[in-house]
Amino acid sequence: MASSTWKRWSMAMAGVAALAMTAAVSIPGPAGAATPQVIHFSFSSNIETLDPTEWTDTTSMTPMQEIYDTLVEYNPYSSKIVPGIANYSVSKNGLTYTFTLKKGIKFSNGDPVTAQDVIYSINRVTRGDANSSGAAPYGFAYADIVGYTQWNNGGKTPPAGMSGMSGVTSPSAGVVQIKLQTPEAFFLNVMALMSAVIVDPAVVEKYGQNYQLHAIGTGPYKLKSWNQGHQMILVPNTTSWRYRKGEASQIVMDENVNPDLALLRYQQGDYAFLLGPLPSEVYAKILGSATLKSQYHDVTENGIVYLAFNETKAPFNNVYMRQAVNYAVNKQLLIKDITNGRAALMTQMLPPGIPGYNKSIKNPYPYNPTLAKSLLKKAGYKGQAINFIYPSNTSDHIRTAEIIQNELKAIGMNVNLQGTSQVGNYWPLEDNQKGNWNIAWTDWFQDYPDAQDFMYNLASTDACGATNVGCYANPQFQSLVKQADALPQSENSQRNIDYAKANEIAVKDAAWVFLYNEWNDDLVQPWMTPAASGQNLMLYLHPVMQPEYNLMNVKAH
Amino acid sequence: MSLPVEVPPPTPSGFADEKIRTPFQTAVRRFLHNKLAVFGLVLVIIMVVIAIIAPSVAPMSPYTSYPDGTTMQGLPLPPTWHWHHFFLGTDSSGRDEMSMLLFGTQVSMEVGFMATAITLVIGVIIGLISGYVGGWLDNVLMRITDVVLAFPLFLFVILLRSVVSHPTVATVYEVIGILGWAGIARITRGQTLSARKLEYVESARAVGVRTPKILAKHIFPNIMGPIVVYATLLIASNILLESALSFLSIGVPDPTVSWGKMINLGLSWYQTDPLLIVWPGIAIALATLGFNLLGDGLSDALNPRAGE
Amino acid sequence: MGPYIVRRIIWTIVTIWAILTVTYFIAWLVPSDPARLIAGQHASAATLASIRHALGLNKPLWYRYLVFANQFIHGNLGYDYIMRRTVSGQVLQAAPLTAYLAVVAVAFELLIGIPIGIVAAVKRYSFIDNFLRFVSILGISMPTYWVGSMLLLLVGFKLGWLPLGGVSPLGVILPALSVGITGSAFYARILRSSTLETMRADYVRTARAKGLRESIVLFKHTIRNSLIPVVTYLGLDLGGLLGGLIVTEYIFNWSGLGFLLNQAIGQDDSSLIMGVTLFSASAIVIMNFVVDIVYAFLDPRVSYS
Repeated sequence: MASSTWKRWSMAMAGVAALAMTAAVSIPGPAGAATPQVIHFSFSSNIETLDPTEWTDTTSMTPMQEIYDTLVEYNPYSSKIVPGIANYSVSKNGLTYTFTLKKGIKFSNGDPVTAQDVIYSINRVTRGDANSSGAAPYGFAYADIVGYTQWNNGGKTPPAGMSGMSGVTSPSAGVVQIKLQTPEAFFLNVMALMSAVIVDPAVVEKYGQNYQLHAIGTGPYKLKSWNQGHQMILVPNTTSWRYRKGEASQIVMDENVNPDLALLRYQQGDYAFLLGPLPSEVYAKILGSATLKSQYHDVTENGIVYLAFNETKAPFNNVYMRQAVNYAVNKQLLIKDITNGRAALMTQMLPPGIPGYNKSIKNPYPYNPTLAKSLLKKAGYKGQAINFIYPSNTSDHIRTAEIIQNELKAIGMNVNLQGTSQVGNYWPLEDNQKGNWNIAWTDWFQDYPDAQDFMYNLASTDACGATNVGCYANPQFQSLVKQADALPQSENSQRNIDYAKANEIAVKDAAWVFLYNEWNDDLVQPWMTPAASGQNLMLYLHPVMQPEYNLMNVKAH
Repeated sequence: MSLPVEVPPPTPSGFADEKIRTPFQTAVRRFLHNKLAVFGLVLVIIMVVIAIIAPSVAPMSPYTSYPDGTTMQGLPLPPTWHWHHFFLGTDSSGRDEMSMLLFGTQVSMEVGFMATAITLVIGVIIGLISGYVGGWLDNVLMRITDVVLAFPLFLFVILLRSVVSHPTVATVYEVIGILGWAGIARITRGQTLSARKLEYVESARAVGVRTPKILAKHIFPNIMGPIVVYATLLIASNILLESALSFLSIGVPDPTVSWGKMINLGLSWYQTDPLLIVWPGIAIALATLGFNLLGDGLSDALNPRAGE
Repeated sequence: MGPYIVRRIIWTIVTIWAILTVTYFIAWLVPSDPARLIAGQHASAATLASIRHALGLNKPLWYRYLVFANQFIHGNLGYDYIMRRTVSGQVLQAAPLTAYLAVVAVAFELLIGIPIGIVAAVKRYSFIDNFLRFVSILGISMPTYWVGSMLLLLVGFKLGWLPLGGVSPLGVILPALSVGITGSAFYARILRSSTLETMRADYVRTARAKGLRESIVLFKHTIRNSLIPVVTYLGLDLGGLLGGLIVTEYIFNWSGLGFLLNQAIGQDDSSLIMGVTLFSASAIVIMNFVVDIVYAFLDPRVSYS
């Protein structure tokens, strides 16, 4: 008996030892510690993709900006559009854009960039069946290009024989011409989106669905390794036109690191910075530490946080109900508890930084539960269940939902909370698939600094069920916005006046519950410095793009 | 010679008492001498009482985010030690910690007891039938039990729970209860088998006593001991399970207060306001500890040889 | 012997099939729309319809189930549209890390539990005995995530002795320790009772009478007697371990199956939830099968029960 027991025991131990050894061999070593010239930081979620036909999120923008280029780009220190890998000119009537590729631009594998590569890239992103698994999320942004409708073919494969949009041509070597159907004030901004980065057709064709693990671009960095979901490492692309001697020798990005752990690693000096918006508990830590305070920066952003109403059915097709909720929610309390005073009250659809903002609207719906109750009565609310959906992936969202639920209960509303996932963008109308929600937490950050991105995309009837998540519809508002869209942009233009009026209507209509305007903040180690003297680190400056790490120096530390 | 009223549990006890006592009385004496067991019982009683009277004794509302419940910068308040006003401080949304702790007892007790009850009902019935009837029925039931036993409980609770669109507290304990019966079924079957083989049970059957009477009078009292112990320990682990689910945000729905949820929201604050996870952590530990000590004590009392 | 093995193989297959079926139908209830995930926010209804058609989402449920089962047999757990990777790729990458963590965690459970059990038995009924039993029951009463966070903060950050989470040879210690602390009580209890039994047994008294040193005698026989219940409990423990690891892996950023599952839950990623659940459950069932066969070889009486 004893010997067989020992046999069992030793067999078990042998098995365990073998398992342990194989596992130990497959464990990667620790990530690049804080050695000089390495920029190491983390994201709290995944880098979704490096493929422009799949791109939607801000996290992916960071590596994409370093690996790729677009025809035109934003000046790193402002929001002006400047030439990227091409110089540009626009025809007087605003319908023809001509891009002339700069000399000597090469992909990191040595392939020179040609006009054909540019045409390929733009057509690829606008195909209905881009990337053979679905349409590119931002393909719609190019809908004004001549030939888009035929090429996109309603989301299906383009017709046989068609090779691209007829409005995208190359009249001579190194020149690409794009014709629009109607003028677009922000077309250059659209061409600076990550969906418009220029890819190498040979590489794309070679790797197919695995392309993003082998992504090649013209940017100052190239992909060294990507352990998807865990860590991505970029190294300098010395042949890039943007390559700068002295740029960091490695950019190491950890994915899926929870914010508390990220703060600890930052405090230990491992991470170069903490990207914001920083959660309350991190901010609390900062307030309590003089060192952290000196490394903290914040900036207002062109973004909004609001509650959308499902206005396609009762009860929120009734303006009194919507106004009741607006009076019942204590926005100052949210600003205090959720954002710790870092956000500003949202007064209308536009944030203050966008032209068209209506300065005369100050505080349209101050906290007033008594008034809310009476409006509820006026609306004839009979106690039916109200579903409030929100993305449950961060504690800030959960807390916001709980606070609001309690405030609505206090005026007599029967509110159910339903947390849902946030994948890339957040599509409230998809959840429950039958539009079975009544209130939805949502936010929006500018794609480009123009009122159209907010007023049209979020509130026009054309976007009903898509980005106008609750299908807000007001004929006067609609006509004003459509009218304004077609006008040229300039200071104090009629365009701004129209948008300002539209905002007034939306506010009176209580189209949304206007919560607060986004801000952004971060912590940056003192050994990170800007490459250009006299400039700030773009970390906390740029309104649209993610920070450009190739323009930062890492001091020895 | 007549047998005592209750037959002792199938394992012989092995030491003599001065007085003649029924095994039940012996067990109670043993239990009361075990200080840890009594401590566990006291904890359990306290928890249950708090769960019942929470709404009347809680100093404030556990759901309201008080405007003065956070500092000027919206950060949690430290304990004020004033019973009626943020005695243990507030959480990051300005809610009163003490009131949340008291109300959290309700969910832990409710889920703990109800989930265990459901598990017991399903598992004991299946085990009893299987062990008593035997034959092909036993075979089939035990095979099914084996398969269910192989399902990793936590994973399936997560899976099932994430599927329900409008969950309630009942959803949580129903899901836990329905998925967790295999263990108790096994134990019940084993105990039933041994009990069935006892001499007097066999003679009762031979004489023609009806099955329900046998089950009720002879089998059930004999198997109760281990089942009660198992059930007590199961309550403890169900309390932990509920807190783990709530910690992952797939437990009880808002606005129901749960200690697990409190830890979830408070965890990120452990550098600046560590008390936010200390209080609910202690609460969970005390509740679980109580049931674990109680179960352990019952086990020792009913089956002394193992604990000797 | 042969028939026993065959029987066990059949039941293993049946169990895995049952798990597959139950998992698939539960996951089918999770509302998710891969078409919308692929096509993005601005896609038209026509686009979505064509994607759904291409993915075969319009086929009846039983058909999709059979396709899924067939893929599973070939080691294909499906494609994850949210992470844009295959499910099997992610699972196979995470599995060895969880296995490693589990092994170290169990090692800690034994390293903590066994000495506590033995000492408690030797000092039975004394204050030390009661204290040790209280401490170990306290251990299983604390939530693992609480212990884990405390360890991370104190040992990882304040003291800086061990890495702040992440996968590395030293990084396994803190997460394994938090599971070890909270799981050791069961082994302590087992060791205590088998040590007590050993101390009372006849052959020990005989050996003592022969003059052997008490500690050696105790040790050898105790270990042998405890082996069976410990190994039995080990089997159960490994099964339940994964549940506890889900949260621990999140806190310590240990990219194993638990971490993956946590991500999947947070993103309503039903194909990933299904894949991890299926894989883990099947692995546990197969491990139990292997252990059973090994037992049967070593103790032929088992196969006749």
